[in-house]
Amino acid sequence: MARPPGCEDQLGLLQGTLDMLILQTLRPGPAHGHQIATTIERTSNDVLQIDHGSLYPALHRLLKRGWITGTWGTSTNNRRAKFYALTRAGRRQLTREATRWERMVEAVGRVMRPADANGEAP
Amino acid sequence: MTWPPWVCRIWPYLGRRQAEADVEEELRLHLQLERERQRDGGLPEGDALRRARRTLGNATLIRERTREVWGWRWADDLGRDLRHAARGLRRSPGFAATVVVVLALGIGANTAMFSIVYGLLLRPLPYPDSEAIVRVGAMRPGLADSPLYLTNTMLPAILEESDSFEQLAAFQETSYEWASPDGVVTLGGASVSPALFSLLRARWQTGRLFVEEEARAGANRVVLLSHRAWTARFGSDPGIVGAVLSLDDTPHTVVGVLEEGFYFPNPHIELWTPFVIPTFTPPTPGQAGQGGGVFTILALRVLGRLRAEVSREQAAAEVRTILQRSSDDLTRRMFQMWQGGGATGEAPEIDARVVSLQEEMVGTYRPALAALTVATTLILLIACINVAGLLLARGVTRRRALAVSAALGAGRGRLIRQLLTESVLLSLGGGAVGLALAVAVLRAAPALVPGDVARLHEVSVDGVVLAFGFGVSVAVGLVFGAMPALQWSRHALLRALNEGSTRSAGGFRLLRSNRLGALLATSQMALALVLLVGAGLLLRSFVGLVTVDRGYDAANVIAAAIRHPDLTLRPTGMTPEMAAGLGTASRQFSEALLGGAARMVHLPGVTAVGLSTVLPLATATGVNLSVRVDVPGRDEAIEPMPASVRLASPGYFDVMRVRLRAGRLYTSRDGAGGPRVVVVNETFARQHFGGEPAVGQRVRFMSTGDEPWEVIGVVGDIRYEGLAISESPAEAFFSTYQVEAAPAMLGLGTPHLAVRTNGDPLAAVPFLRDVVAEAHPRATMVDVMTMDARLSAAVAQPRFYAVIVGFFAAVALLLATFGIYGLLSYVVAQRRGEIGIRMALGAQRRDVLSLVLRQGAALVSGGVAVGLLAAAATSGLLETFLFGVSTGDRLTFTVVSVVLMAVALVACWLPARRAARVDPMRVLRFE
Repeated sequence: MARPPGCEDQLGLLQGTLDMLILQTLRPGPAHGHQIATTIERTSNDVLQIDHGSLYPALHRLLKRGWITGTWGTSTNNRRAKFYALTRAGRRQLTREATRWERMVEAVGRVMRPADANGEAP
Repeated sequence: MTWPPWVCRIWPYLGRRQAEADVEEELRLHLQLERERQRDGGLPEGDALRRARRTLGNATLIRERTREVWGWRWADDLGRDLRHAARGLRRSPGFAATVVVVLALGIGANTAMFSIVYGLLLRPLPYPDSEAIVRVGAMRPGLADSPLYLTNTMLPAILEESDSFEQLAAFQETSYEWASPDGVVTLGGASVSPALFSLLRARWQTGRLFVEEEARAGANRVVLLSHRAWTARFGSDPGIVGAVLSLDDTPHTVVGVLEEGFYFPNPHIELWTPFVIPTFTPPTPGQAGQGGGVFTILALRVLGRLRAEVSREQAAAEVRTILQRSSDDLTRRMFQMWQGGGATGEAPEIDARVVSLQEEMVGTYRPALAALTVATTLILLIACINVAGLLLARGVTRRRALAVSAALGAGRGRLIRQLLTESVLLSLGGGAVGLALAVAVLRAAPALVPGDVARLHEVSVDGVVLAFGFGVSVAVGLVFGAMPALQWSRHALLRALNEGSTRSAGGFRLLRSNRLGALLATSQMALALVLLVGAGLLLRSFVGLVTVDRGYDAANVIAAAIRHPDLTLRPTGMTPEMAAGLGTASRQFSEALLGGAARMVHLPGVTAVGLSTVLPLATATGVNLSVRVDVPGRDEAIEPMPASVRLASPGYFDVMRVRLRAGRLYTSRDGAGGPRVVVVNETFARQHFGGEPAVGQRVRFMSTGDEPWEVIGVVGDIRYEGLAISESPAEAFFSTYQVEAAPAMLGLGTPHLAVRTNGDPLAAVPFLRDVVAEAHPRATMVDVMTMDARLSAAVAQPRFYAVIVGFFAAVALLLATFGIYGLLSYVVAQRRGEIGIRMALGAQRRDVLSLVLRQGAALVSGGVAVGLLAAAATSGLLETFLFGVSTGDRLTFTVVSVVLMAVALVACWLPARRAARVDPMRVLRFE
């Protein structure tokens, strides 16, 4: 079976990053599972491919921690769906994770391009 | 609407099915939306669905992983194991019931025992900061376990000088005759120092507590009621404070009611009065030497609350110093005499002891609790081993089923877990039944346990006890479940699949493949023997106690203590005039009683009537006076020895059939005007006259003046206090006809009327009642009992121990017997084929019988050998309960071993006979 185009450019997700992405996706407002998956894929220009299978365990993990809530509602095309929304604790958690993520990106970046980081010529 | 986060966090736990249905629906929607998306992206319908499915992945796995988030996997496995175990047990209900019953016995006995040990010894007393509450007492040096008393002559110095105590308070238990609207009722009471309640940090329901002034002589009489008395006797009357109660014919004003649940010193106490501690005026030297004067030295029970940072040892050292400096000579001598010591030339030393109140209350039960705890633990061990044996036998029959599971890939851990689930399920069942058993036993305990056990009413099945029962159940299940489980390695299980085909050649040892089973059977035998030895020792001791020579004949005798309200000694100050008045009243009363007794002898069925201040095994004790005795003409350097003095009518000796060893008894002719005569017992004769004949000797008693008394007879010693006490005090009996000349206060002793009949002694009770009523209208009989009943009560405790340990031993014997029977039966059934072949090859039935019996006997004797060693090592625990039997009594050990072996061999004989009846032809055909 043919691979979808651009498959080689897709990235697997780092452990624990999915939770953060879900929280980030829910920041503007509640969404159901499929919306979350497609939103992440679309905003990352299809670079990040969500394993749809791991999405639901992740959602339940966040539910259990109390970072999101899940309520049944009606979707735009009139279908019953479970909408997840950020809680206050979820918002705090997102801030924490975002900060941590930025620091990590910066650190990884520094390692990968030491010259730039140090401002010295190689 | 949006649910609050906490609802989302817990709701899956509330409705698991709903939660799973939700996940299902979400996945369905996701699949649909994804398919639509793919279709909108241009894929044909069929590909869109396939693509959507692939994106989502394995739906079952997603469901499982979602479930795992909520931690359901563990519960799922457990549920499966439980269902599996329950199914298995349902298939063999007999096995399950046996195990549950056996374990219920073990766990029930231990749970009950634990709640008693916990309630008595471990739980603090129900007073705030109770660990600082102590009992203070003085004693002769080296007398470590004497009762803890201080005298009223010692207390003031300690109160004044001691720095160790926050507070000190004296108390004394008494009883009161309360003239209630429905007649006279006897109430349990205590006289207490007012400080006692604040010392115990007692709280009250209504009114107030005592104030110091109320404990002074001449203060208004006041009384405090217990909550129970208030509710039960006065219907929780809210206006009780200020009410006036007539107690012992004296009006007392109720000042308050204590809080519900408060008790001191025991829950039978219904009221408290202020303790007016008599002040002591030292007698003039003449009085001390010659008698005649009355002075009150009272033994007091004293409670203290230690200051913070003061240890009991420090407090005891301080009290010792104070007592040694402050105690006068008379106090020391008095004290010496109370504690039964022989006087020495110098004023004796006084030592002091400070013991925690809890220890003082329940410390005496410690040996009994330790011994019984060992007994219940042994029962639990035997029960566990027994069940392990059952499980082992069952496991072997199930080996093939397990082997199939193993072959299909079940991990060893998983299999063991399943087996443990089964055993824990069984033990929890046993624990539940055992708990019910324990509750029943504890409910019945106050009625079953002889005597008044302090704090027994506080024992209950509470959270701690429940936790203990649950913990023991789980532990027991794991232990007996693990024993067989460990034996089944995966490898062994796989081998079991091929079992039944061939067997290795070699000696025919039945137990070759059942070493663990043999070990279990042997250890049950050993443990059962330990219990049997304990029961045997206690039984022998009990029989010895009942058959001991008591020195009197108890059959057909009834006796009662007579209480005269005016003649009851109260712990209040007594002037010599009061004492003299009491003496006169007492004399008149005993003369009236004697007159009645003389008439009674002529009644049909009555053979003898006696009046005495002493009675064997009497519970109503009066004044037990002990006075110095000296023999005129004897070397002055020999310190006079004390002796207990009694007042007895001549009839008393006839009623009790006391043996006359020498001389004669006094009669009514030895009257007031005649020569002074006294009858002594053997101990007296031995102590005072050594080898010389006592009859005809002359002795002087302290406080009877200079005139000597002639010893006219010697009677045999009697066991008064308890049957086990062989040492008798030295006794001198004075005739009731010479009461004026007898030692002062002797006439105030509690008179006992004893009657010998030639039929049922209870028939004499109405006669007794008449005599007492005629002697004084307000006199009452208390403690009316036949001597046989007294004897029975006196041996109630040893009987209780013998019965309870005997019961445990019987259960142990039964379990051990079933254990060995089960093992041999199983082995014989398993090896039928082999036995059949042997018989086909020419072995005789006799050979098979003896073969099985021999191997059974080897197990039994191994168990007995180990058991004898274990019993010898542990029987020391029983030392305090044994009478006339040593802890290593050979006879008991031998008899018990023989009994155990005999019973066990019968148990071996049954399967052996079954083995001998194997029909070789049928076996060969079957194989």
